[in-house]
Amino acid sequence: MALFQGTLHAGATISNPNGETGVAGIRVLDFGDRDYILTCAHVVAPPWDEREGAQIDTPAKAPGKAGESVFGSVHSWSRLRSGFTHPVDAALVKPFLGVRLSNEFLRLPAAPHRVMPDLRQFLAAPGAPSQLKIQTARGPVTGTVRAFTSRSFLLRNRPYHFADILEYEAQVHAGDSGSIVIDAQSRAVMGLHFAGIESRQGYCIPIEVVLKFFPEHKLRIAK
Amino acid sequence: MTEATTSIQALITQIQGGPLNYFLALAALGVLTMSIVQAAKNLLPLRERFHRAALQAWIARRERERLLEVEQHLIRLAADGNFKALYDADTEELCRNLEGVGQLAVDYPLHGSFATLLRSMTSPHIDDDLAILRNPAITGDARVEARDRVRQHLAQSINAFRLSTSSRWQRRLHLTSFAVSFVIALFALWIHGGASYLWAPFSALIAAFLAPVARDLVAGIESLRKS
Repeated sequence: MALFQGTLHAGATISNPNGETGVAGIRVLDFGDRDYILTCAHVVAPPWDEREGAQIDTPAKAPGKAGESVFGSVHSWSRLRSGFTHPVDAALVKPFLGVRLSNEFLRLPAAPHRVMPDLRQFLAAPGAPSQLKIQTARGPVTGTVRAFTSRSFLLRNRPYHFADILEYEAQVHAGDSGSIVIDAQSRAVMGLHFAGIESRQGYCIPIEVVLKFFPEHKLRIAK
Repeated sequence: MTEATTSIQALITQIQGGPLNYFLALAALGVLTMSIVQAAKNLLPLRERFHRAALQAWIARRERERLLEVEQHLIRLAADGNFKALYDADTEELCRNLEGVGQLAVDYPLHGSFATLLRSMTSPHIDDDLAILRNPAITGDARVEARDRVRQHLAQSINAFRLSTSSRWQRRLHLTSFAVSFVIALFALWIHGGASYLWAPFSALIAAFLAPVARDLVAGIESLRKS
């Protein structure tokens, strides 16, 4: 097992031991200032391979090559069960000792304004911004906000239902899961991109919901 | 044509009778030496003592007075109190466990004696940051940045320990192999009377020097042949 040493920036590609690929979304801190990478549960702990402590690589590796550059291990995640409605698809990855996490490339605003509060209400207000950016591993991708919706997604031919998710038009691709969605104007974090229709539209879970899903950690977004 | 064949056969016979036989004997000596060294490593608590001395020296740089207390704490956290399991593991495994303990201490710097543990594993350059971690009144970005620096420093500190310890262990193994090869070669030369008393130690010295190399070469050729 080779260890990744150095700084892991939000937006880097990551993969689980079976080669499921996604994006290291954002660096978050818990109540004791311990840091984690927030990403999608279906990337690091998919329903067919849920393991606490599973080691996660960066950059993402193909199946069979996992473990070549491990940076951390799965700490907590939202369990996905096919046929059920889920509030979030999110996981926390704990970095190993020699790994420094950074949100530097996201250029987030100062502390109280990093999270967009009450996204649904904010977007419903007249004159609300409609442009957003998705921080994928390929770089930022611009999108246009459509609406809040509920729908099912297939993972290995099994349906997983999600309610209250934000839909947007954007050139997203498979492997972008876990990317952070940012308001193009204020750069406040809007949500965690977790699903999409290839090159057409994407879906994210509001970041407030994601952060509150791990209540024992009292998560907040790092600088 | 016949002359060429005869010349090549003569050359091969000459090589077989001289350098090749010597080389094979050296390879056999290398294998014998390595087997003895490996058996000694398995049967005697050599690595355990070496690792313990190395770790104690590492801790003592900062916490000489509380050395045993810190060591016990480390063993309890890293190997569930199993002294032998921790020290008898190879250096890589030992350091992975130290990293685990270090991570725990950085995550919970206010807990029990973790502060002492952290101090023992880092250098004085990072004391200001350790003081920030130990002070619960300091919160926010200052604390996060201090934690980042301590983590980086600790990782580097453990890496340095890993590198120096494994290098010293390897050097000891090489020296031991050399000594064992020398003794065997000297013994063989004296028993079989192949060399004078003056010449024997010199021959044994050359054999001891070349035996591990020959053994490595034979192992390399063998692995190439298998692949």
